[in-house]
Formats: sequence, C-alpha cells, structure tokens
Amino acid sequence: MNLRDPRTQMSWLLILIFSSAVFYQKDIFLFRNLIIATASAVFFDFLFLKIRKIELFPPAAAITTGVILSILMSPTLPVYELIISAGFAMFAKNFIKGVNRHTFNPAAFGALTTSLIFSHAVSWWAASFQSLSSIVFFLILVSPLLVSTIRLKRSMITVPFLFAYSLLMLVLNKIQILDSFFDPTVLFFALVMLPEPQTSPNKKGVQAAFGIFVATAAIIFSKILELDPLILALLTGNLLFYKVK
Amino acid sequence: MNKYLTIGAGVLVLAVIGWALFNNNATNKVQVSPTPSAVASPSAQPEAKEAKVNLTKAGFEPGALKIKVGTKVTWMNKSGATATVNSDPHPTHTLWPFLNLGKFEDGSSVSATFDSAGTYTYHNHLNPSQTGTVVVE
Repeated sequence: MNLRDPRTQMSWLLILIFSSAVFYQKDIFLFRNLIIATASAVFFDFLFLKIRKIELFPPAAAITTGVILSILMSPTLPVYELIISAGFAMFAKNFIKGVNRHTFNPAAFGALTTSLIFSHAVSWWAASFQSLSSIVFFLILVSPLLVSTIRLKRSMITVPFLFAYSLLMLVLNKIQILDSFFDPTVLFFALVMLPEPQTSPNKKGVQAAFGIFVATAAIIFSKILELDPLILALLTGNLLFYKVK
Repeated sequence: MNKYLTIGAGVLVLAVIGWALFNNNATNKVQVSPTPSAVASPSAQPEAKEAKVNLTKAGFEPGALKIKVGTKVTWMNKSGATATVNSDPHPTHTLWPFLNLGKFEDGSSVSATFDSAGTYTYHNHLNPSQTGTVVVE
C-alpha cells in the first residue's frame, strides 16, 4: 500500500496506539483482536464490494476501521461480536450512502450497533490510560494529529470540538477544563474519529459548526441516555451535516 | 450558509449552558469517600449496611451487586495498578456523579453510599472494559 496515502499512515499510527495498549496491559494475546477485527473488516468490505459489483481496491479504509474497532471494543467480548461490528461498519460504508460517499463514520456505526444489539458499552480500552503523566503513551495517542489535523487540515473540527466539550464539561459537570481537554478517550475521538474525511465537512466554517455540534450533542446525550455519548453524537452529526459538505 | 451554521452552533452551546445555569442538576445524595482509606459515610445509620467489591486484574468482583437502600459499598483495589471508579457513560461520567470516586492506588479503597433505589453502572476510567453494576432495592 502507498505509504504516502493518509489512510495508510493513519492505519500505522493506530496500530502503534493499539500496540502501546497491549504493552500497557502486558497481554500479547490482545493482538488477536487486532487481527480479527482488521481481517473481518477487509473481508466484509470485499464481500460488499462484490455484491455491489464494484472492482476491488486496496482496503486501506477497511483496515483503518478494523484497527479502530479493536481499540474501541473491549478485549473481553466474544470474538463474534468483534466480527459482527466489522460487518456492520462495512455495511454502513458500502450501503448507507448518498451519491459519492457514505453517511456515517463506519467504525462508530459498527461499534454503536453492536453495543445496542449485545447490550454492552463501547469500551475505548486502548484509548483511556494515556494521561500526560505517561508522556510516551500520551505522545503515541496523539500522533494521529499529524495526519488528521495537519496533513488533512481538519483542525477546524478538532479544536472547536475540544474547546466546546471542555467548556461544557466545566460549566455543566464542574470538571476541570484540562481534565476534559486531555482526556485520552476524548483526544482519540477528536483526532481520529471526528475528523474522518469522508463523513466530516470540508468547508472551514462548517467544520467548526460540526465540531461544536458534536461536543454539545455528546454532553446532552450523556445526561439523558446510557448509550456512548461520543459515538452517538458523532453519528448524529454525520447525519445532520451530510448535505452540508 | 457556513456563517449561519457556525452562529447556530454557538447559540446551541449558549442555550445548553443557560439551561444548566437555570436548572438544579439533581443527583443522588453524595456520600463519597475518595481518599485511599475507607471512610464512614457522614450520614451513616447506626446499623448501616456495608458491601464490598474487589477490583482485580480480571475486573470488578462481583460485577453485579444487589444491595438495600442506605448500603455503603467499598471498592478495594487489588489489581496491581491505579484504578478509578467512575459513573457511566465513559468518558463523561455524567449519569451518577456521586459515583465519580476518582483514582485509588493498588491496595487502597474508595466508598460510596447508595441512598436511592435504582440500577447504577460504573467502570474503571483507566480500563473502561472493567465495568460493574449496583442494583439498589
């Protein structure tokens, strides 16, 4: 695969994040989940492309989705749930779409759908421990900003989201701004999932609105629902901003 | 169009903040003892009930606990690493703020008293796949 492709670069950085989590947990068998999720995503992507009678192409996006799912889904879940989440993710990528692009962030769709069906929370296990006090882990966690924020110029999504989220958490929940801003899960979400190019706006003004909307929606959802607020807010934002590219 | 969307998003944020400022955010009564050693609840009844949950490498044990109203639950960290007890959902921890007991080191404990009936779910923020439920009757 082309190493200059941002999706390939993102995949490698995500694998690095996953690897750091395996190192932190001291359980090398966790790599099994990475392999299963990624292979499942590629399988289902190829399957659905065949069904759509589209020529197969290098599965860079599917690999990225698979790695994200392995980061999000608890390693204690049955393997079949990981496989099914990859199936739903690729279903969303291939079939829930408009003319040129899919509507929902595939990994978010797969994770939330599976959590609803099997009644478990999205874990974020591999993006939860990387506080500033563990600087190496932290730097690995935020390395995707080199791709999403700098290379793909998505800073107008990420930065407004982080500021809006942190401010709202302070005002509504009395959580210190820096605790929210540097929360590992929130950072991973803001740097990897939120600015996904296919499902986030391209225009600067709309990007900022998208980021602020998702932050606000996440806080509201967290107050009234027991579903993962970040994932649900992202999918809601994907839907509402779909036409506004 | 872009300008209006940005303004709209900003108005939405202000509306939410305004709603929060003019509302009492009612939560369960907080009986939190986030210090490393177990601390008795300030409003403990003379015959207050107690229950224990151990956090090991495998997770919270028992994962599902059933108790009576007024019971104090103590979480003991035996996982070998720093852990937390935090309300669901991750990472906002907003459903039951009284369960945001903060970090506790290996060998230490945190406690909370459940004064209202209901089902409460929590997790270890540093390893969110470790989850638990307390059913209060």
